[in-house]
Amino acid sequence: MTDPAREGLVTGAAARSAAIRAARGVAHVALVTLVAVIFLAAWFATGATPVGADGGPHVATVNSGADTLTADGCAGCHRAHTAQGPMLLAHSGEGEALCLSCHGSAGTGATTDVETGVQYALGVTGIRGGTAAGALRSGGFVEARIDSANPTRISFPRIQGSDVVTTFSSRVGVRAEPAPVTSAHLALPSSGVTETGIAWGNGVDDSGPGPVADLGCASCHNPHGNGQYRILNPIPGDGDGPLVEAGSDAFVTDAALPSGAGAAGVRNYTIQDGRTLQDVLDADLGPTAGDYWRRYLPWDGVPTWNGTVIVPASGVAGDRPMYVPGAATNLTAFRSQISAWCSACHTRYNAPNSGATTPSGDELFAYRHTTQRSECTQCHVAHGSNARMAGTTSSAAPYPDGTPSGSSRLLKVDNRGTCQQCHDPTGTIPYTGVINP
Amino acid sequence: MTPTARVPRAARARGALLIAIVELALVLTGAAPFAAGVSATDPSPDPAASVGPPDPSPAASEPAPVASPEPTVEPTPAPPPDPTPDPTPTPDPIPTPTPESVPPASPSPSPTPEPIPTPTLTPAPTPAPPSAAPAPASAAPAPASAVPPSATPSGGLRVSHAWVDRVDDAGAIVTRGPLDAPLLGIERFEVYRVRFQLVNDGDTQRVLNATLEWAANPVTVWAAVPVVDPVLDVPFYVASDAGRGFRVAASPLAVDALRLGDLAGAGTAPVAGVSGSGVNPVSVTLPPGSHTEVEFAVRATQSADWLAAYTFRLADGSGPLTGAAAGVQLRGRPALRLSPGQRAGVRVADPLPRYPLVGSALAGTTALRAAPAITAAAATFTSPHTAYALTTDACAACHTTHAGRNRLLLTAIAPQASLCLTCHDGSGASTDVASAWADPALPPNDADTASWFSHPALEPSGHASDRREEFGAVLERHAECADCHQPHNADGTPPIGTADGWTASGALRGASGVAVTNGAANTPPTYTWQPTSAFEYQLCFKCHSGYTNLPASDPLRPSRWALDKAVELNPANVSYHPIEAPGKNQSPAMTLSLSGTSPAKLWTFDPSSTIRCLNCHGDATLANPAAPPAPDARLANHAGPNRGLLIAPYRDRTLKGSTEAYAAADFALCYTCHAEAPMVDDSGDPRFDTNFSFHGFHLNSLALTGSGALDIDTDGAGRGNALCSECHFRTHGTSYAVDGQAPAEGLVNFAPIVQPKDGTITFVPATPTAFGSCTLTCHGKPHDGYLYARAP
Repeated sequence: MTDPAREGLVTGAAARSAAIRAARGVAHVALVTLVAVIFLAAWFATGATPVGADGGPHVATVNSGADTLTADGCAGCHRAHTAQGPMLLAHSGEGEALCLSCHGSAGTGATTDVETGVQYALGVTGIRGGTAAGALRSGGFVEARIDSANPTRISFPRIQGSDVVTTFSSRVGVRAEPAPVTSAHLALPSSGVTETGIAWGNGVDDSGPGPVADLGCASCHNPHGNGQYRILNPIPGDGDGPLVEAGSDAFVTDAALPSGAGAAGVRNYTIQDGRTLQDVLDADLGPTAGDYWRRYLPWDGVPTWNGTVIVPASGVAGDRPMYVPGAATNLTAFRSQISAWCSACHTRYNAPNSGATTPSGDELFAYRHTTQRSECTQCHVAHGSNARMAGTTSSAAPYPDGTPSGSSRLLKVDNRGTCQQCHDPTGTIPYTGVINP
Repeated sequence: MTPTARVPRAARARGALLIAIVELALVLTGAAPFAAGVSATDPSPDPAASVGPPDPSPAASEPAPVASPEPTVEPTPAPPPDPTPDPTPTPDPIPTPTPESVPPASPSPSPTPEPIPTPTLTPAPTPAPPSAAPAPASAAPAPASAVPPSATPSGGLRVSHAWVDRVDDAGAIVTRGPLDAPLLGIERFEVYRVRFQLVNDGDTQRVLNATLEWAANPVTVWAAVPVVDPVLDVPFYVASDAGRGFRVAASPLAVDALRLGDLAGAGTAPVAGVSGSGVNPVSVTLPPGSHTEVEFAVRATQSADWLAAYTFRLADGSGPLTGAAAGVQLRGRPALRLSPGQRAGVRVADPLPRYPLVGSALAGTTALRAAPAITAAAATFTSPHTAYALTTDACAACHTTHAGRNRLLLTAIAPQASLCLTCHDGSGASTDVASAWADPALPPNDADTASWFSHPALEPSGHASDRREEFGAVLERHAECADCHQPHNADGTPPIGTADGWTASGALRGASGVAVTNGAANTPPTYTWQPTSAFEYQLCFKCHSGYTNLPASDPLRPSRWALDKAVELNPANVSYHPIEAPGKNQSPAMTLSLSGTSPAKLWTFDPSSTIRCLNCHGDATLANPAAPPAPDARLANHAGPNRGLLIAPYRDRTLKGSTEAYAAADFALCYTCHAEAPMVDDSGDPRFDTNFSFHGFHLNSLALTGSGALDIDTDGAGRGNALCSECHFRTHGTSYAVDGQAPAEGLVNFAPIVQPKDGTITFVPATPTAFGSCTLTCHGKPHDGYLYARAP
């Protein structure tokens, strides 16, 4: 800022006032420096992490002042007097730039890099360290690491009632190298992805394919925290845009916030097993471990039937997929909740189990895959996918409005291999029947 | 989703209001947003021919004369041009309605979101004669509206009028568009008919390969309108769904379907035109002194901008045709429907430059990469019907996960054939089955007379899934594609003849069926639903056996009964055609009959053979004795000219007239297997190639025998040479012999025309050592134990 006194444009009183302010500023800097030194000393002494991700700005479930006001969270995003964007945001607009300053590939303010789809270990001097813990479950907006070209199908025993039966599931692993995304919920310029912007299926029956919506990070996430899974807005939307917002909340229950120190207090956002980032690091399986599909399988092994029990036991029915928060028993509730949440925007995609055989009443979205038996996130990632749609039909598969597109639609497998992960259209996958009497 | 900053509602509303104001200003100043005609050869606008925008030349200070050949559709005259010419060139008379392009406007007390301006129609100018000199160039571009002369003289051929019609969902024209003026307010994704009147007042016949071309206004570049499917960034394509269903065709436009008479005033005669759906170009012939009309079904795509105006013209191989052009203008962007409580916002500046991205630590990359474009051309097509990899591309060929148009998430509306025939019409698959139903000579099915010429695959039904048992004990027979074909398993494997019948071919692989466990002769078997048919006949039994509820029988017309084929084909019967097991007639005569020749010979079986249902009920187009198909060939019986979907004609209901001679074609079906020789030998002498020596006599020598009716279901009918069906009435097997007849060997069971003799209808087959005999009355002729001999 230019000193008005030096410009010779102020009166003597004003110059005095400026001098007072300058003196106060010096005193203020000195005070802040002192406080910071004390704080840092205490922090290093206790081994605490600087503004840990889940201890950061996004956890204020209640504005009680207990957390938010002492966590330095406000200043991470807001400026009281030097804001460049509305709502006193430090960056212009309310777009992705602000969020990417921490969660981008070059950001250091969060362990999660949503641009390249990685969660990192905590750093020593910054929140993000240099060690990659694993691939993000949601993929990435610019690059992702879904091994979409190499899914595997696995037959395995599964408890069904009082019987053990053979069934099959699939694995979609992690690529060693990141790959450019071919579809994303936000078309960041750096990704090269172009999307129609249409919120497919949004709105009431017979209202066309959906409005063109302009989304930002805050369309889906509440940066102040709300206690929901992934701080998802119960009513996602596009602000004043044309999106027809849901009339009621879609809550997605989250597990309790980790309370440990360091990585033990940070959630695990990778596709590896574990509640916390520390769990992932302790397992030490490397950043390419994990499974993007994992419907029934245990994440780290193929169960077998030894004549008495299923080994490993984690392969029994009810084994929780990698993204279910909380206990395995939360699986059913999570599936319904996350499908309902996605359907808050993709209204007419929400379909019962009879959706494929019973017309919905909507002209465009007449017959629909169920979103009850398999939740949306079973087949799709939330941020961006690197799956390749190079096949003859997949490269020009029409959108609901008939426009052909080679977008990967946030699917986890190349072409339409996603279907094959659950379905056996030829009826040729061997079924060995009930194993135990 | 686009990452650009959102435009608050108030800004949008203001922008929309401003658009309306700008539009209004354009109208008031005469700058009509669309011009009806356009130069066919000169892409630069012709201000001298335009009546829309102001023209600084004195000659244009008065409105151009209105050419209105059809008073009922006369467009509204444009207001007089502004006498004060606007020195600023207006390259695009239609402002792009993007908020970014709209300067701030004064607040409105009641902002109306996205009003749709209604541009004033520009009167259609008088088409310039072909000999007129080109208009002088102007520094001020303006939308072309008149039709300047063509640079390539067309020798009396010209486009005299053009317009665009609105059609309904069925493809019927609901509103004729204004002549030589644009159709305003068209919608994306809807089909319109772009139509031209062509006049040939020259001395020679003209054969055109008429190509529909499009251009955005103001016209700079012309391009042919693509067909069938939308192309990215091209606002139109010639749609194949002019009505419901998809069909690529260039159909004739009858003379009485032409909209316009001889408006050219040249005394030309109307001739039939062409209507193109999914076709561009179309061929049209104009004799000297004639006129006609050519139209295209055109659909606007997502690339057609809101409020943008476009022009269509016709061209042929030598260039654009002289004369009128058609035009459309899209409607305004649909109004936003905001949720209650949404507030008007304030537009914010574009975001600052993005945070610079660097490579991730995970893989050591140094730069982020944009995804390379994927093009279909790089892909290799494979059949979508089998062998699915874990990254298969095939599913999307038929299914769409969230926007299915039919059960099981199919991409096309019911019936299933509307999807299957998009490929199996000769365009995308090796098999063209659509043509069987499309044959204009195909007779319609007639339930009243039990005359069936096609499986009803084109009719919607209650079909849900081939994996579901849909036929058991219900009167719900249907034949959608997947009732007979399992699309995930089908392949080209030929069937195999076995002693238990012919296996299901690859085309039927995986399709469900009904197996039978046969009991005593003439009794219903035990039926068992099969998820997949092992044998071809099991598939047929889903609908053609007692497993399902067969249609009720007309008691007076046994020839029309729908009978349980599983009962008739039971190998325990006295006689049957060998579908489930070889036949019972293992005599040398049968061997010779099957190996003998005939004019319709297709198959060469032997008594140990089994046969396929399709050997008799097969594709009639393949019944060529000169090039007979193999018995295991693809014989799909989808539709055909012969009743009962027979592979060859078979006359079995209408008896021969008194003097009507034998004709082999009447029994071509029989002759696909059996020798003709014994059927034309009327001597009655025993032969080695038949066990009944009087075949030829009955088929050739009964002229003027009897005086009965000509209906095989009428007692006592018959007056001339016999049909095979008079003595072999039930040809599948002898189970349902009429009038209580006892089943007999050789598929002998008499038709209702045959009457008892003294209360008895009896056929005793001959043996090599004993005579056979007949006791009955036929064609009025009593057979009182007539004897016949058989060759040893």
